[in-house]
Amino acid sequence: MAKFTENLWNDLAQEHGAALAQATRPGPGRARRRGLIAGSTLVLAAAGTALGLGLTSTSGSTPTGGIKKVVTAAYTITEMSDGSVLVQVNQQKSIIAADAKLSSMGIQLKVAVFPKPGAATVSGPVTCKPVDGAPKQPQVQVLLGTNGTEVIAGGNTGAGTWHLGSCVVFPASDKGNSGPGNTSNAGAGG
Amino acid sequence: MTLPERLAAARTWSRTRPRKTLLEEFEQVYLRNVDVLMGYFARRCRDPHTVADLTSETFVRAMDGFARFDPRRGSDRAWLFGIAAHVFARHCEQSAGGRDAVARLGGHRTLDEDEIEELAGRIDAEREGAALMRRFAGLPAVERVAVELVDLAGLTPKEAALALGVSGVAFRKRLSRARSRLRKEYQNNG
Repeated sequence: MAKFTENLWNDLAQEHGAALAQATRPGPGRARRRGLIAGSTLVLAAAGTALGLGLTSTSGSTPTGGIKKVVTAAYTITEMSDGSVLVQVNQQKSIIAADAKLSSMGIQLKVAVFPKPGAATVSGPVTCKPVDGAPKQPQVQVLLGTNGTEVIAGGNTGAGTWHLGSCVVFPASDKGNSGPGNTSNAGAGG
Repeated sequence: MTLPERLAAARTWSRTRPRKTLLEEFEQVYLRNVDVLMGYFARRCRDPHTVADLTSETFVRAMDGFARFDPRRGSDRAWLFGIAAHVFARHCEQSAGGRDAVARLGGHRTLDEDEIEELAGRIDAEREGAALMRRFAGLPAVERVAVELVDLAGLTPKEAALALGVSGVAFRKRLSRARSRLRKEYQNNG
């Protein structure tokens, strides 16, 4: 495919995509809520870096039942001793940064979450379903907030109470995208 | 990830995601229109760098204003052509003033050899369209652009009217007059 058009898109998304990824289009009658879905194949590579989400991770202590833990302000990733992975996010944007970190940890999967309004009826993480040929292992779970429910204060985008309706994992398909203009591909870093 | 793969991914995810971010929406707008907009500039400019910069500038402006774009009021293609017309007009003004239009527009893209070759090929492919444009030179400017947008760029009359900021009735009259003049010219010239 045309190299210019692809490189142009990468540059546009990298330099101007962050604002658009955060923006909302005013709708008639009711305010539109920004799409909470964060694990997008299309925006991950381009917007991840531009969003400036902290990827400076520090390896913390081994949690109970876990063998490796990465803790940042945006997310916590725990590789459990049974091989599964628990991703804990505190805000919807965090999943983008977490995806980049998963990649750097050698886990070639990306996560898409589908939040729903209201509190979680069952506390705890949601197990992600592998789609688009993603492997069943490692199993990935996502925990929203501390117990599965996130409350966004009034005045913020997406204000309200949310829980994860579902979660999927898919192959990290932007791997290997290393042409000119892609040097800041968030999927490659971490 | 190549553009076809991105499109395939977009189709897959559009079935499963509840709402797209504006960045994702804009990527689809970009993919649908980048080629035809490059053609628009390639018919006007013989320098690959200028085509690249005018195309880039159009999409940068579009990206900045995309949150305000209302798809219910017209197609994205019409909207983009409206922006492209302004970008090209500004380029002409600055070129006429002896200033470096590309530099003033930001010079968004630094092209490598492959991209230059690709754009040169695109300009070459538009040679026939550019020749037709020269044949249209005898038409009043408003009629010339009407024929170009519909018969060369492939916009519907409604889209072209929107891009030019005129009513559909006025546009159809322009288009009809332009085609009539061209027909007469063709008949007179054998």
